[in-house]
Amino acid sequence: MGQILITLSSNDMERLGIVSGEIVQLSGEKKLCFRVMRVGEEFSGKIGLDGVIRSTLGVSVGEKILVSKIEKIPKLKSITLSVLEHDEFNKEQLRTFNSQLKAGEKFKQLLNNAPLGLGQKISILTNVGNLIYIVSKCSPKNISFGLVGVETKIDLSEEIGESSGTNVYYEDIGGLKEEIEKIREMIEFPMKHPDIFQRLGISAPKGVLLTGPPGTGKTLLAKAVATETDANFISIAGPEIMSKYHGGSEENLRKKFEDAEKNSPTIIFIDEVDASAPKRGETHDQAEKRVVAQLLTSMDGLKGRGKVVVMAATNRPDDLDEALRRPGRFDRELRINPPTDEGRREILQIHTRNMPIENKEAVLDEFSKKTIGYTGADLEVLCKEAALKSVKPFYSELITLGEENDSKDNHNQEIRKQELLDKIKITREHFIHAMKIVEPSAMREVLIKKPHVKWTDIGGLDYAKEKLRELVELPLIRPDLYTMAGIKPSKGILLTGPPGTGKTLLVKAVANEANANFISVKGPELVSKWVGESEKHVREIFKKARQVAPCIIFFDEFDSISKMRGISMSDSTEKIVNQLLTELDGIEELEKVMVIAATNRRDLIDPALLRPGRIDSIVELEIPDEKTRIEIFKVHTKNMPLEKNVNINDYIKKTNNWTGADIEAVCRNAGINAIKKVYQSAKKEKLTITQADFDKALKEVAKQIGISIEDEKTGVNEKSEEKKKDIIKNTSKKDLNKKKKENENRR
Amino acid sequence: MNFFDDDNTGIGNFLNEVMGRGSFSEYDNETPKKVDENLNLINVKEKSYFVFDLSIEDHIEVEIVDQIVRNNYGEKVATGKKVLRIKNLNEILRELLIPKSLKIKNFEWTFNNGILEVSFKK
Repeated sequence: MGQILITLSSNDMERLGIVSGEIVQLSGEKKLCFRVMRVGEEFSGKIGLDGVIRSTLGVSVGEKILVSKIEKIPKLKSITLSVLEHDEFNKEQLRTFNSQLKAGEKFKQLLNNAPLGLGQKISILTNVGNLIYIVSKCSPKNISFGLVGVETKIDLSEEIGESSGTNVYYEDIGGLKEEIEKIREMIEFPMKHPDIFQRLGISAPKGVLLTGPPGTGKTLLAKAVATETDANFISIAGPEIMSKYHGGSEENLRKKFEDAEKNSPTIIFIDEVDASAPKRGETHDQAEKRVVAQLLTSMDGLKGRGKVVVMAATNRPDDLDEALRRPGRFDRELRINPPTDEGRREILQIHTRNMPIENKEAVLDEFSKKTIGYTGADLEVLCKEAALKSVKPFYSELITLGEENDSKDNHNQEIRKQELLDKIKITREHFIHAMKIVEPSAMREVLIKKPHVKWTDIGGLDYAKEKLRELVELPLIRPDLYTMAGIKPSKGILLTGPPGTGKTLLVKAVANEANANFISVKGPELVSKWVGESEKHVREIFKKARQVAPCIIFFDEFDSISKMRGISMSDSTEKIVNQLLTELDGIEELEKVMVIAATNRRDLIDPALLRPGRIDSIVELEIPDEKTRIEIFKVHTKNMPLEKNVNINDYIKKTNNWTGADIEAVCRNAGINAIKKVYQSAKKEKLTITQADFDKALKEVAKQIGISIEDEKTGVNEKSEEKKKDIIKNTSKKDLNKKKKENENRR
Repeated sequence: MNFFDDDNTGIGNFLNEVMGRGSFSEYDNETPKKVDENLNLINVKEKSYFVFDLSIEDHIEVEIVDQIVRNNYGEKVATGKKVLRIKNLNEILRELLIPKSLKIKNFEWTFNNGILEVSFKK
């Protein structure tokens, strides 16, 4: 429907003596008329204008504007609209869209009942996105504004109007409220009010460097600032300025700066600035060095301070030449992080503005919480994927409808098409499907497919489960409790215990059940043959985790990368330990990032890593007791077709000192034995698992792990006792007990 | 014409009232469209407002009617709820379920330049 509306609060409307639909005049740099829509009293003293209206009136967010009631408004006989340049389409494409829109009579429907004036910009949603039109002519000629009615003739000009901005407004950016505020202070304010800066004797910033992971909205933010300040926008892409001639690249760059100064106010935007201005000390290419030097001198030479601002974006700020980051060049740096829950909600709201979503509010709430680590760009793709999925069942029908080229039945076809389109609804299921396809881009290198293990799939280990939930889930779900208590949550947890006791299984459940990103690191994978690479890997992992926080980093076989310093033969392992130490408890705080490490050789780990403040919570998993073994058997036989005579309790005593993995092997082997029977038999038998299958499996596993089955009468077995001792020795439990006793004696 | 299946005879109304299902409104011969239950209500001190953008329309009418639904036997029955019906000269454009908290007796509407505003006094 018509979008050329403004909103006013109920009490402001009463003050003006108007009701919804009546017309008011807004007086900014230009005077324009709009219909009013009523909103609640919470917006008292505020007026709701979209970006296109703001840009036509020449006002920005937060500025004051005069509102007055219009009693009578003349009817327009005809208006002519010209489409404005669009950065995504060329002139030919725009002319084609124009003719399609004209034929569809879309303008008549959109502009009916709206007051329009000369020079007014209108945003029109088309199949290819928002196109901006400007009212270039109107009749009768003696009036500057009037009302569009049924009789008003709407013409479209063949000419393409010049657009200074990029058609992106602040309301098109979600989740960057603070950043927008900061950027407005840095760029918009000095550009619009240079006199204030002159009077105070302060110089406006020359350059702003936007840093942050890819897809977080750096380029979008720069475009929005240019549109909202009504400044020219000159974009410099690295390869675009490079020339094959000696000195050509520098000349191209100089030209861009000269153009900017001639047509000020201008925002020069350098995307991926690390590619155009890398560290001069590290590059061997002379041409690159000269381009960097040219950029430095061009920025120094900028005369119209405040009127020409250079904005640059990079996701690798450390690779930039240091000279660029000093005051006088890029005075300010603004980091743009992946969006929070609230930010993701705003972004989803923006991208689903025109989508027919079933139960929209609930769906957006749910998916803004589920999409941790997703950037704005990822969320846009997510919405598109969900929409595409919803259209799929109607594809063939829509195509057949499009192929029926019966001109007589055109009206009916349109109705049928509309009916079909009305049927398309995007549901929660479509979003779930889209989430399987679209992964958070910042996590792509390290992302794992989440395991399907739930807390209920783990038999026994109640203490470990409770401890993990308390240490991992609670700080992520209720950080407020920690703030109230005035403490910081534990940074790391070490899961230790003999092999097969369920360390990795527990972590799988954490990964699945905690609402956080999960990075899994296999210890040995970190070690590289190249000097410095191993530490770099560790740094990268922690950097990624910080970017996509809340995040859990899981180090499996932790002892392989955390060996005690001084005894290790390898220098690179020691460097990894040092890197880990600084990452865990360095100057840079580890916020909302939790480390879980698993090992069965705790004795090998460097003690500095286990001191309070680093991996300070230790969860010991022991060989399961009788009660736990019952639970483990229950979990593994849950879905097995057991014969009635199978009594699992018979095996509980026989598996004294067996680990969870051993018990799982028994159940699996019993299943395999049953399969073998059915497979080998000529008759078609129903697959059931018998006591005999279990007995055989028990013997097989006992042989495999080197334990003879326990004597039921005595309940004691020499070999199993020996194994238990071995295990305890391996995990240095003995040493631990010894240490505990020593500590007690000391006290 | 079958005597009993004609709703306008009043027999259906009478039977429904006896059975405790409520009576038909005078509009029950129009099949109700899907009723919109999510209304964006603006509450101020003395009034509650609904505002609709119907820019495409030049003439509309607004009325409040009983909500009529068909039961399992295919009979039209009143639910006891009220519906705000917006129609132009040819068809019903929208039907919106009115929250029980609103007093329907004190309702007013204005239609200016394609914007409909319906208000209910508190």
